[in-house]
Amino acid sequence: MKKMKSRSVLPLALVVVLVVLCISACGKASTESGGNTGTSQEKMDSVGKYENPITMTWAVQTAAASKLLDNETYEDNRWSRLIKDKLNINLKVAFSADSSTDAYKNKLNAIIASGDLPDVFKTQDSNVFLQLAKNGQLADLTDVFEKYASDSLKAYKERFADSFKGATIDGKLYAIPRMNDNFHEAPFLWIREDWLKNTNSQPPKTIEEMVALAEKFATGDPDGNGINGDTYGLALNKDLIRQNHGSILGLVSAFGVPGRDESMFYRDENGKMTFAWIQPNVKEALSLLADMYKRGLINKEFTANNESALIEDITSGKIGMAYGSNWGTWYPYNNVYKKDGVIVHPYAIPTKSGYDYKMGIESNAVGQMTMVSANFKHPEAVINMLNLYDETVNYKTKEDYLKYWADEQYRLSPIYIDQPGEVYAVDLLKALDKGSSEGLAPAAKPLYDYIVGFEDGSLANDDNAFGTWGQMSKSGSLPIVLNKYIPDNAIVQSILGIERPEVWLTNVASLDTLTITAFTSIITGSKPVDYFDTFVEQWLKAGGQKTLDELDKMYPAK
Amino acid sequence: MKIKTSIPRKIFIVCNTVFLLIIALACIAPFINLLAVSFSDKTAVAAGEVTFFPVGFTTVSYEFITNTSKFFVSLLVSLKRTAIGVPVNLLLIILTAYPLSKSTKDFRARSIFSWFFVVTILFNAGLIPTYMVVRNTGLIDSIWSLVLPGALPVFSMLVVMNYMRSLPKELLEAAYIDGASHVQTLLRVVLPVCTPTIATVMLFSVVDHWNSWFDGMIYMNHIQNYPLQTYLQTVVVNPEEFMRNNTDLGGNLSKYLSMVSARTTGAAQMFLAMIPILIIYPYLQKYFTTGLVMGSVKE
Amino acid sequence: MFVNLKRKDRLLRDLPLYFMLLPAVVLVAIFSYGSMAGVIIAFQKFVPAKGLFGDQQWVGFQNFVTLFSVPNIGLVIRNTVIIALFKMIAGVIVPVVFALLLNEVRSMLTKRIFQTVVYLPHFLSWVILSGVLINLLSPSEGIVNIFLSKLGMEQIFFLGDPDVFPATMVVSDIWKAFGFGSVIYLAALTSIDPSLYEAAVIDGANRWRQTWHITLPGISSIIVLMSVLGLANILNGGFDQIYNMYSPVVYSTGDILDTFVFRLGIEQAQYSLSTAAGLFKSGVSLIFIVGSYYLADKFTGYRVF
Repeated sequence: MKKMKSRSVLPLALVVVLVVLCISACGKASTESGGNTGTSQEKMDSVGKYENPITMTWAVQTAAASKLLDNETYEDNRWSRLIKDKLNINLKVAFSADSSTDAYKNKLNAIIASGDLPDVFKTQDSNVFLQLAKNGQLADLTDVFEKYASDSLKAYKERFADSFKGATIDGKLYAIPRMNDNFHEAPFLWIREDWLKNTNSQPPKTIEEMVALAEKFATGDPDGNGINGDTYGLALNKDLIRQNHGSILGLVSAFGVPGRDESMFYRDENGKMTFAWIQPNVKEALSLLADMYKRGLINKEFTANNESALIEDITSGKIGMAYGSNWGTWYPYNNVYKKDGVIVHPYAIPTKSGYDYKMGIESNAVGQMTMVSANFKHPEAVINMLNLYDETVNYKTKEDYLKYWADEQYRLSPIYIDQPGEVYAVDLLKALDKGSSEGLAPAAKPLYDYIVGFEDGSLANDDNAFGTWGQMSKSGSLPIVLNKYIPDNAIVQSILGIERPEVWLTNVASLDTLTITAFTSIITGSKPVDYFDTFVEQWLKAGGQKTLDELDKMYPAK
Repeated sequence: MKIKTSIPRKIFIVCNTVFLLIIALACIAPFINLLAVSFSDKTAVAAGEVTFFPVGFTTVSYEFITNTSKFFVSLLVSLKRTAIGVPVNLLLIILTAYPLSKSTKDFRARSIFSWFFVVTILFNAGLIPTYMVVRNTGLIDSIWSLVLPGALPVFSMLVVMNYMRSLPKELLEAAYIDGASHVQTLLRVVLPVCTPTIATVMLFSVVDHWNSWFDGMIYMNHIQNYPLQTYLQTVVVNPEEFMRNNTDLGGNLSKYLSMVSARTTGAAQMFLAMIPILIIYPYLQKYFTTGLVMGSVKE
Repeated sequence: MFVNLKRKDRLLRDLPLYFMLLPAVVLVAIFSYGSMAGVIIAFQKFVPAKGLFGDQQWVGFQNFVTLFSVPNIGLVIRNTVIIALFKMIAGVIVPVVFALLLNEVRSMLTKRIFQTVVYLPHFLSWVILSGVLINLLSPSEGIVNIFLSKLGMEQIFFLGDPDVFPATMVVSDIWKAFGFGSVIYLAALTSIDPSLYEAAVIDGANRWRQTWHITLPGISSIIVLMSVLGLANILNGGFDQIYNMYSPVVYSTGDILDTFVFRLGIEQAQYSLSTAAGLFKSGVSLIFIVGSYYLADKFTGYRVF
């Protein structure tokens, strides 16, 4: 027995020593990190150019910014040179990762945990933002914004007050938010114009007409290839409740349900906190879909198709009708236009008599945040940079605009005015009526040119022009929201802001699974429609009820 | 050794061959499909017309990729990684397998060391702790971050160790009586007869280094340091982005876009990425067969 | 033969062996054991912003409680075990049988061609293979279903029918892995002493008997090793594969621990929960491996590691 002990001592001791060494190394290294050079007393001139150069590290989101032109690199490009020239700031890439996959998110979380925050970085994840702010790791931008922001920037802050409120925690501004107004998230029904013509049909106004049209598409020969029934009626994809092409959002809207992914919480007409997908009317919508599926009006394989599989079918001309978002002409229907020269038009969702239609949108407080590390000695540099961005892109020549903004080049600036062009839809419509872009916000002027250029044919083959035209021209998607959805009082904004109940964060994945599984089973007929009642019960039991209670306290009724 | 072939034996051989043939076909079909897609016209692919032969034969997808600098940059990273990683793996496998192949009687600590290594197969600490260790060793963004954390493939080591254990005892005893040290025994007696098993684990190592993508994504700070599979993963997940952003082609981009699709270029890239493995594989396989002769350790 | 040495002598004799182990021990200690310290986050309410060894809130076993109070977790574990178990069993049997059959092929060239071909699927990732399989198995356009309907059989929703999905996963996994899995057995087969077969032929043993009494025992140690190591995968259903092919309609039979935890984690970076799930998996695997190790030792007197 004694022998056995002694022979295991040597290797065991070795292991223990090594592990201890390693752990202590870890601890040491993390306390040492975060040493940043430079002093906050650097001199600069009135537009923010530093006398002595300072260095700023930043995180590059590559999927979106991977368009590098003219042999530029992330380290050396038009923006890095402009910033060096005008502000005397040396930009350094802390890390680059793909933000369209989980790569950026994973990398950022690892970096956050190790305490090596870049000076400037972005996140879409409101919880990450909230945690960083609460742990004192973000620079408070309140004062530097007041002191250094141009009047133009301050005007943005007024106009997009909700977004800036989302970036403000305990009264302090901790990020420059995405400046958004989410009215444009409402759903539409997209239909190929040639299929409508080939089947002698009108765009459907009611759900019944939509079903009839789906039947024509599914059983007839809308694409005119001589074969009946090789096309789909209404196209769905397996994610169903996400805001993308092939969702059911537009359909449930007709039944008065403001459905939108897993986060659509709101107060109903009685002021009671509730959740979109547990509304009794969802059952009616599902019952209709189940019937359509049974009759073969829905692509049988939708359960295995994600959005990109669906887009293959769209491009190859098997799909003529799907619910989807406002950007259809940007993607995926730009492919159809390029391939066949056919326009796929957005229409207001068909309604159901006896129901007031409702559509759900995200809270304006939620969106991508551009943050500054608390260790960065020059938070004012970020504001100066934003001034420079605003001036270069929005107030200079058209050449500058094309050089620094177009083709997503703006993303090469560590911080930019992050806003969708959609927010200018109202102004644009007015300008188009007037026939002049005068008086438009600088960021909206190029959009005006795109629309006019597409309509007069000079930009007929320009992707940007087609995309913009399908959104913001008179026959685009957004006028439908402005002239119909909003006057009809159909838009319901989610109450869920940056702050979210703990119980929801832990359970959201399983609640989400529960929802999609139940809906898929009902549509494909593997569960009866009455299963919906069981689903509601399960949803409430699995953390849903607690979430509603917490939200009721977190976001009290006004 | 000659055996007379009986009738049932003949029937068995025929059935066996047919059976293996069917299995082989089932295995290769998807690759032929992939190859056919990579050489096909994009409209034929979208319409689902391509099965095992290219429809509208074209090499434009390959032109499209070979004009992409990112592909070659990451190809180089992968080659470098494999060139460093595989020898490191083999060295550590051999150095570890030999002591552990001793019987408990001859090397008392073998059991505890074995468990020391095996346990690491079971426990994976997850993304953040692993990242922290690599960061604290200062390897982030270096090729060594892809080599050192997995320097000892425990599974391969166990395979080699088991092989060494199955060697005839007389062989080692003879060496011991001749007064050979452990190092001499390993180099002159054990290693020469281990060629088949080392060729096997070497192939594992090559494939592993060649196919890993997650570590590249996490440990590399700059995408120009991504190994090929990490780069390909971003292309496969988001083919549309890749297509639209292939700015290396400059003015030719739109011309190419009208001829290739995400699926054809994806297939072509996959195929190109497989080529190194396809080249090295038959070379190593030669050692499996020479192992037939070497397996018998008669002098 | 070395039994009668004194302790000091033994240590001296073993010293080179320790030196050989040193590099691997150091690297494994740093990279594997070093990061294992990180499993503490399974017992914390981990907030990345506070740092790995920062001021995290300790919650004891709360994460495990949360994990096991999730509705359907029982179903998820059941799915995982069923899929993993079938993959494990078939993952040993099929490669062994294939290696034996291939070993019967006399022509070196034929053998080589077969080998080269069946190893191929191993080299493609599931990201690619799933794309290929979804096309092949599609109910309306897939070659497999077209073939079935020509035989007068009904269409099968390989990926859309909860009753069929797990089988599809097992078969496609075996399809991908069996060829390459047989490499080890083929290597082991080459190490069997040919003189044993010669002796058997002289004794009049036929091929079956030779296989049964010489070939199988000759590779039994590697079969046992592979089986024991395979048990570590008792809760590994194969994330890459299932994630790329499943859909809500087959969650009831196809959702496994890893895919479930992935969905759990992806929304809000719930590292504590996913580490807890990982720790649970590791614990179960450890029990299975230790158990089978001692069973093998007890019944065959063979130490696997």
